[in-house]
Amino acid sequence: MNAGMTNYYYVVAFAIVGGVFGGLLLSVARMLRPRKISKTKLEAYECGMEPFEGNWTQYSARFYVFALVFLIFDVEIAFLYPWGTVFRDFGVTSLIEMFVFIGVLLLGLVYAWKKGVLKWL
Amino acid sequence: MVPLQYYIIMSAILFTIGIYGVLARRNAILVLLSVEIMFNAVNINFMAFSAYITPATMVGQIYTIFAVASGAAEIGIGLAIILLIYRGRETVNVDEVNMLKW
Amino acid sequence: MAREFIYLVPEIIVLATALGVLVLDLVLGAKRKPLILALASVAGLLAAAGFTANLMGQRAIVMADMFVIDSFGLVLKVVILVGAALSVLLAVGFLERPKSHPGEYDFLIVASTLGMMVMTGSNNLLLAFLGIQLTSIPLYILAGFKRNDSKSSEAALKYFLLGVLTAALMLYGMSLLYGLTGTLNLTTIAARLGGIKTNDPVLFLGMVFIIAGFSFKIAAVPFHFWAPDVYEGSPTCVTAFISAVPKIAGFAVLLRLVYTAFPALTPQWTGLMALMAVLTMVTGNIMAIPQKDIKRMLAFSGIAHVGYALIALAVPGQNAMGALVFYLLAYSAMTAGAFTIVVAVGRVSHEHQITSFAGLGTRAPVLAAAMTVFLLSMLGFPLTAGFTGKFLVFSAAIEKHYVWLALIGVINSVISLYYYFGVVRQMYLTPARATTKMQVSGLVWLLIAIALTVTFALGIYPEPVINLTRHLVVLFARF
Repeated sequence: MNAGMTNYYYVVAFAIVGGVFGGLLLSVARMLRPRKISKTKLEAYECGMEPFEGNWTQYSARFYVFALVFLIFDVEIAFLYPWGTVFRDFGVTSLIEMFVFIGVLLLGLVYAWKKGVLKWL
Repeated sequence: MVPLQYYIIMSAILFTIGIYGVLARRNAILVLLSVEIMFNAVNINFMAFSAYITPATMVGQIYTIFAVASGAAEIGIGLAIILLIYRGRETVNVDEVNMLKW
Repeated sequence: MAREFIYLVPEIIVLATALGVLVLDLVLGAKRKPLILALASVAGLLAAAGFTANLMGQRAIVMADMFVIDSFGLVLKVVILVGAALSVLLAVGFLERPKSHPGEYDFLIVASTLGMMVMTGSNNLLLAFLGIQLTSIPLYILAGFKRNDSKSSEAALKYFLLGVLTAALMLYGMSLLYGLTGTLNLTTIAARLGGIKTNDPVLFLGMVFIIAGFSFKIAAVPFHFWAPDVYEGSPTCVTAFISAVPKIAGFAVLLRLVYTAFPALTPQWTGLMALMAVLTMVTGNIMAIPQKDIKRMLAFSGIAHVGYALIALAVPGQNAMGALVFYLLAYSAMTAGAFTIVVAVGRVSHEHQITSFAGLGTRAPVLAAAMTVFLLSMLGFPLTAGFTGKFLVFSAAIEKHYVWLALIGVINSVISLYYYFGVVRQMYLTPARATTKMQVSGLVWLLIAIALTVTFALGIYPEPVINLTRHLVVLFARF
């Protein structure tokens, strides 16, 4: 048996212990707690507000713009991780390069902002 | 260790599913999703080759990051274009988008 | 490290221009905005062209062997930059309408130009891919720039869907190649392929996928389906840009790929290119005949021209490479000129049917004469750029005993006489529907004059340029 497979046994052991422990706690709680079923408890929880629609409604297409802006920045941030692991070796040049990169992204955000993309009409 | 072939076969299957989706689906959004599946097949290939063929340099992982980033940009533009089409004619079915033909 | 940035000054200038245009767009008031933004972009692009020309003669590989500086790339970059500057000027009239977005338009053109420069100089498939993406993504948006015109959005959708599909194919090919050789660097690939069986089917598959991706960019059959729809649906000034400039970059990157990375596979790729050349020529010419829309007709004629240029790629060797570069220069001059006239006519008649050229010979004699010159040049009439280009390509093919390929090219040129003459007949022999003289802005005249000058110069006295292209290619080949 090689080392790669042995690692998976730890995962399996961890899953079993975790499952048993969690299940034990939940079943103890189930035995001890009072049981009072009401309609309110079955409703979707929306930050304390009363829900006014079912949970299969369509979202406004305007969310898409926010999702888009978020998506782009979210993915570009992925470049920061490999950069973070090596920038010590490259010194000031790579620091400047990363600031240029972030600056370009920021300019894009500012442009979108000024053009009213982030405004909810 | 999982053999390299498994990854390659897995990515080939994903890639084929993606191509099938592009050819068979008529909803523009689903076509876009199928293309994403193809991109992810490529990413699996790059990661697997990076780990097995050039484990010392990790260049394949860097390729993957760039592929993911450019894929995100493409999806952003694609959704915008599909939204534009939907506003214009209330459909995203690629068969019904057929004003331009000879 | 820092000294390498000297070689990247043109690219940095173009990036700064793109960002500067965005800032200007936010800062400026609405008054004269399209013209100011266009002049700013043109200034940036021409400055970059100047710096590129200044680097001429230098040879270097910079940025961890990713980016090549050689005269081949530098000359094509100058052509790309000048072409982009001219197409920014061409769009000023389009952008002066209310509710058009001049800042975004100019930014997208400049960003796309940056992508083409990256493509032209890339020595690494990943960088070539990023260059293609940077070129294509702005073009998708530009194709859909008329937001309320559903034809324009449809053009954008078709361009986009086919674009991402070929991008995915190309990336898959690259991943296969990476698996076989452990690198995406073109020079290293060539070195490592020495130790691999060249008849490996996976290698061939990878190469075909990558070439397919680049073929999309140059609209070669069977990856041409987007071209007629996108040409027709996009705003005409965008069409003029798409039809000429990105193809130069596409051919540059294709040439680098096959000559730098795949010398070991020469029989395979020359066969592939010959097949694509024949298919592209025949499809382009046959499909151009029934077209009623001038932009669609020019789209198919452009496809046919890509076919002629592919002949030069199908026959390996220095003369063929020189002929290809020359043909690209000639093609972009005459196509851009023809589309400029389509823009001028379209601004008056508001349509792009071939019949809208009726009576142009009396309504605007100079415009009609210029259009005739461009069409003759596309046909390959002597004393025009198109003739010299075709002559160089066909003689390069004959020299390498590809007589049949040259013959198919000549036959196709004869077929193209039919549809080019259709436009000329409309202009001179069909009576005009309106008799008023046509108004053409000074900017458009300037652009037509430039295109005419290049077309005639490359036709009447081509020797300096021919020598230049051959010289460049020698420099490139020695890398």
